[in-house]
Amino acid sequence: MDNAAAVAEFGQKMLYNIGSVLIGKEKPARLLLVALLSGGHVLLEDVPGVGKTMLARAIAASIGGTFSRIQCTPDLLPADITGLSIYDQKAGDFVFRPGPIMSQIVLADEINRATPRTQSSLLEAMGEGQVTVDGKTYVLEQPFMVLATQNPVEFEGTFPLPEAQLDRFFICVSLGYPTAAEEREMLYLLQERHPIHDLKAVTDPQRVRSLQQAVSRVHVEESVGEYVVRLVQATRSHPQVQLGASPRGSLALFRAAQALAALEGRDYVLPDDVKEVAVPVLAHRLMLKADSVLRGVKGAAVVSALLSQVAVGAERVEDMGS
Amino acid sequence: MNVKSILPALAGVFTAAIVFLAARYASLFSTVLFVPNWLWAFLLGSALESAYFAAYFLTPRTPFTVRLVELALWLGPIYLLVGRSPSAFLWPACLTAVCWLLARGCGLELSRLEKVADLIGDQGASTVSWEYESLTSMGQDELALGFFWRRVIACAAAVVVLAVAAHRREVKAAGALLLELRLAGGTAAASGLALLGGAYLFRLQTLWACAKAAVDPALPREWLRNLAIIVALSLALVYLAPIDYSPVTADTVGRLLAAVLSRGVELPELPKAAPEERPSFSQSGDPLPEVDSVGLGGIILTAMYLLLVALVSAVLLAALGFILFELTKGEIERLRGLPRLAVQVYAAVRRAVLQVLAALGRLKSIKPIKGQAIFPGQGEERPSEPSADRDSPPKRGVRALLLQIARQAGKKGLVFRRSQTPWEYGQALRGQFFPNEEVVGEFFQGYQRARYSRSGLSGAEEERVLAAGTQILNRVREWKGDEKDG
Repeated sequence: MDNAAAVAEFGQKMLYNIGSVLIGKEKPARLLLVALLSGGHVLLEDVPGVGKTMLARAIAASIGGTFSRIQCTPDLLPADITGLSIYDQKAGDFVFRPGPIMSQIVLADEINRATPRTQSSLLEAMGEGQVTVDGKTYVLEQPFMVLATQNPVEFEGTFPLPEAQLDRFFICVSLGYPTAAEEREMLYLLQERHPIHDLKAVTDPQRVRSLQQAVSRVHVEESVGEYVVRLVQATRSHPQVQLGASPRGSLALFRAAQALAALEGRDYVLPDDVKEVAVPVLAHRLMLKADSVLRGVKGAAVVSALLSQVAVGAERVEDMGS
Repeated sequence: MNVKSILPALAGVFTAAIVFLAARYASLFSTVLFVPNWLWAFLLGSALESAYFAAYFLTPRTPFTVRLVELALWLGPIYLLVGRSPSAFLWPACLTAVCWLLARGCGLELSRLEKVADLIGDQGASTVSWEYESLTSMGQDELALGFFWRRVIACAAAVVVLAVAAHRREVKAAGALLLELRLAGGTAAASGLALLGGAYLFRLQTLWACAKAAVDPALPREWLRNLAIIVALSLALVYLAPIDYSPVTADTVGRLLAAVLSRGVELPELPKAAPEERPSFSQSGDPLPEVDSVGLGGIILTAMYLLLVALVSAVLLAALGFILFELTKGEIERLRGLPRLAVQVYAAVRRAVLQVLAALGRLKSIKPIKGQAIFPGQGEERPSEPSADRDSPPKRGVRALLLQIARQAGKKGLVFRRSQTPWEYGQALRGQFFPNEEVVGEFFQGYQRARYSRSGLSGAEEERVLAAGTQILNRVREWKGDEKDG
């Protein structure tokens, strides 16, 4: 049975593997591993060309899972994602042809360019790990992870993700531009051939499932669990927030802290783990009030402010006797 | 339930009532402008017919002659009823034509509201919330819904102008005429408000149908029921507000106050207004005596009077704001000018009441704890806390040692904030007292295992961690404030 130490070893191998393809993206890659080990889905939000697609491909290659990519466009149909039944003349019957969603790692590139109808076809797959086509339900092979990308700058011809779908993304990660040194290193790394083609798997999907179970066994002390709840509830009463994080957000924060602790090799969660993953897990789930949006307030800023306000609940110094 | 079937009727009743009111007020100025009672039926009939025809059948391809024939069908009988006299026919015909045209505008707008789905297209089918942006992006900033708002306000303003003009010229309505005016005024106000609310619901129903949204079928009924309540409340407010319509005028309230105050302060008698005379708002009347002659009592009374006027104005504004807030479902960004001010007044009153209630609730729940302030620092910490039983302060061990360290460091200025994790506090402690020493890391790692892990510390580990903690505690106690590193 795998334990936290095994998860930490897996994390190091994965990070090394990903680092050989993407320079200077260790932190986003760790968050992606957190999502992978938690069985969650990731929204990669950043400008074009910073390595979102490459990161997804590197993860898929590293776990040896099946990978497919969906380039979202306004004319993309739900059947293009889920698959459809076509008539086989030889067999004289309809045959189901699976769509790209039937892979373990699915990259939905520029997801906000697809129409809401098409976006919603991902909901069942992301929420329940299954797809229903023509009344028949297909269970998706685990681990199943959707990595969706969207450009936060360009909005022309896009369809903003509805709240229900945003909530189904376990974390939202931004890669950011590399530093000058990292960019220079990248140029020489890719001079002859892209290393993604030579990337070898460091594990297999069966092992990832086992590690996911190990993560769920990581101990969360009661005060840390209460801290998670206080943090999420604080988002619901924040004056700049119209709609706070859902109970699904609490679950995600709890599980993400477990995964992060396991990646550190610990079999127990610290409040620091909760703090580290709070912004990626909660910020995209907040619906800010219209005037806050107009003032340029971001969900990440709200969560950061709450982290400096909500009591951790470690010790109460004022209660100590003299 | 589709409200479109009743909206033309509301538009017709509203238009007829407004035109009737205007005609009645106009007749106060000149007998030439008198209209017979039977014209009321023509006004109502032409308005209803015009509104329904425009809402359901009129298209841009409808021949103009059809419209002319339609109008002629109403004007013809009037011509016969006035005895084929062109001079007697002119004024009723004008009123009927105006009524017919106004109702037609409402019907056309209803028809246009229904076509919003065509304007929005696929985006409307995607999500209802983009409807406004879609229209804006297409250059249609003037929403169709605004038409009804402008129409109701403009008509109401026109009638008010006529009524005020009649009042200023000392033209008085009495008896049956007064009753007619009040009935028509109430009908116009009720149907106008119902038309506004109904048009908004119709717009939503159109969008729901466009987006194929599954909406509770009971919702439209609830909407209409709530609308009826709001309309009834508005009418009650109009009739009971301390204005000339109401028996509760400012003067009666002023006399009441004067009677109360006169028990302690001798107040001058207010001049009694004659029964048919306008009270304080009348130009001829002078209800308040000269300040010089009344002294303190007069000043108090004047202040009370001004206060009353301000209070009543605020209440009326807040009530109007409440109605608008409900009708617009909180989308006050769409309002401008006085309507927006009214909603803001309502929001301020609501906020104040909620704050008072919250403060009362807090006062009930506060239980002072030893060493803890009743009111926490502003913006520093949230009130929620772990339960005291489970987190009662430890008496010995690593956790107790951390508390002692935090207490000592707090005296030296490094407070353990409740939003800090122990590790963050350890880093702050290291920066303040132990810049180059690993002892802090050793202690806090041990503390984390003791506090958060399932297994805790073994005996030897605990001793080592306690030794490190004791070293930290002593160091903090000895720290004088000017030294940085030993």
